Amino acid sequence: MNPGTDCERVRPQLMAALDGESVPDVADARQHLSSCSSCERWLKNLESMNGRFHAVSYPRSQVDLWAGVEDRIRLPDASLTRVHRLWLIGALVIAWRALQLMFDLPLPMLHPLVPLAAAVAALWQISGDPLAIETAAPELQKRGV
Amino acid sequence: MDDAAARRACLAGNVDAFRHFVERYQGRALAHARLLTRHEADAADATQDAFVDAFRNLRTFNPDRHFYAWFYVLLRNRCFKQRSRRGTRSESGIVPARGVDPGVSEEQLDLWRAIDRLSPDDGELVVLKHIEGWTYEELSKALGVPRGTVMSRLYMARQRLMTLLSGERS
Repeated sequence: MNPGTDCERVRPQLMAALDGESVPDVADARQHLSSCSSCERWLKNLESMNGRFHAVSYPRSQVDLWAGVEDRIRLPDASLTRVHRLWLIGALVIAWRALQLMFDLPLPMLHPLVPLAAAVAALWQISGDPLAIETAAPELQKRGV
Repeated sequence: MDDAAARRACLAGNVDAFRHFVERYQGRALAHARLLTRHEADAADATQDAFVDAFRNLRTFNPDRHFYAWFYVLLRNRCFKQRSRRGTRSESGIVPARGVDPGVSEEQLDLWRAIDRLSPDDGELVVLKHIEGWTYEELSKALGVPRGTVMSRLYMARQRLMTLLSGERS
């Protein structure tokens, strides 16, 4: 038998309560549970499934990553940070403009955005998206994980 | 050595101290990476990359918190990168091999087989909740979604797992 709308609404709350989480409408959900045999059966099945996990451990792995990790962390970090990449792009653009002024190159000869695009494309190839938002460390700090 | 002492030693320039983190967490990290990438070689690459990221960002790890919860975000990023590079191709499951894991019971195998049939996202939630024992708050931080989303996604994942397990019984 398919659960009704009420059942679908209260089951996530019953599940969260079973997980020991705080649930705002738990009294409501428990009241529904006391009069719904379908949800009662569902909750028992969930408890039984949860119980099956008690003896579960991760599959053993014969892979040892230390040698590979050690080789890499002993090398100096060659990857450019986002700030470094932006500095590099800026420096290339300034250098291009300086060359134009020094040698009096006519601007229409090459659109000024072309070297910028070329610098971005080159950096993209070398070290990934230079304008990408780094989600790793700053994100972690922000979230306080 | 505990995590805080290993962190201090690493930050003081002792690279060997990082071995503590690799040896302590590589088993579960590889299992999680296999779950997310469904590819043995990609999982090993992503896990290795994540450990290198962790070493380079160790200064940002707050030793008052659990190392693995912090590391998991790095691992997850690496797995997603690996997955997008590889496309949707999946080559290997996460079910323990009999030869590698002789002690694994038939009931455990059934459970791993059912988790293997879930989508990587559902499998991730189920494993982090049931085996790691993370709270909804911890899941919300690691997965970058609100607590309410964790609850509804976990509910759907468990529903699917219950269906798979009941199908396996009948």
